[in-house]
Amino acid sequence: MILNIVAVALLAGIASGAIYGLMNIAFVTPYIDRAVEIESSRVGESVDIAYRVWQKQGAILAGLLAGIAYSSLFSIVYAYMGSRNPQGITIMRGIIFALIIWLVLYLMPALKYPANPPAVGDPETIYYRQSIYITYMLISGIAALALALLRIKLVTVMGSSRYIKDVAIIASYALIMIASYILMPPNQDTIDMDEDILVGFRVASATTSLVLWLLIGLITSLLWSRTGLIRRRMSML
Amino acid sequence: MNDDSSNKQMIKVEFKYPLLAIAVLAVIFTFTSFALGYDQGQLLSIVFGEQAYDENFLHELFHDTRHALGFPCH
Repeated sequence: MILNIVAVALLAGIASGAIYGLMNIAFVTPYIDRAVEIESSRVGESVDIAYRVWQKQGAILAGLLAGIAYSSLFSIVYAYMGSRNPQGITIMRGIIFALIIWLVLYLMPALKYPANPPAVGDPETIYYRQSIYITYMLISGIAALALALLRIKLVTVMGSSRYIKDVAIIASYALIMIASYILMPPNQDTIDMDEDILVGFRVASATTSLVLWLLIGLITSLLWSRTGLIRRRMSML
Repeated sequence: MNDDSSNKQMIKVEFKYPLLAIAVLAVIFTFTSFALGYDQGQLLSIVFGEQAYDENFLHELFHDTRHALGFPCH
């Protein structure tokens, strides 16, 4: 059973990650190529084509790794949801769940610290930018997790008036994120990039990330609910 | 007239939170997400020492996807 849960997470991650890697090469890499050209021209060099080919090959491997990483996280949360409500393990819930995780772990951090193509970030500030990005992501993730657990507690203790609780939980999350948005320091690097590359890159990044999460949600919930790989104990009442 | 509901039996479905599987997945998540999104030579420095920080192999290999996922990069 333990092996099955890990295997399902890896399988869903590899399948989603392979598609994600190919999508990135099709939709994100063209913007990165243009940004790398600009980056090279600024220092008076030409683009190292062989190096870029190697990095594009790395994008397939990295896609698989992203699928495995995010699918592992998804399965941790999905298994907890399944333990709370075994009959609620459905494909629709898997997809909704994946959408929520994308909102919390991609979109929220991106509103404060948007994805940038190469030639935008200063290599000297990489550790600083990483620390503020992960802090903001952790605030969003921990707040969402804590509020989701609180919601479960409230439903158990108080029973009905579910929608009032949902509104209160969403409002609390929004308040935490608004406060964090105001309090967290900005990315101080100068954004010096063609507007069409910047916007196109950010839209492509958000879209492929969303598809990755949705694929993980779809494939994981399909494997959980339709294959018998994850067995749940059934008994007559 | 029979009440149909009296003939139906309720089925209870149980699923225990698999802590060991979760621990394994947490390790996989931590390692892969660090390698993919944050490593600046740290992982390979275990084997190659200071040279790993200069070459920054994983950063360069995962470069495009690191940007695509929204992680900070240069």
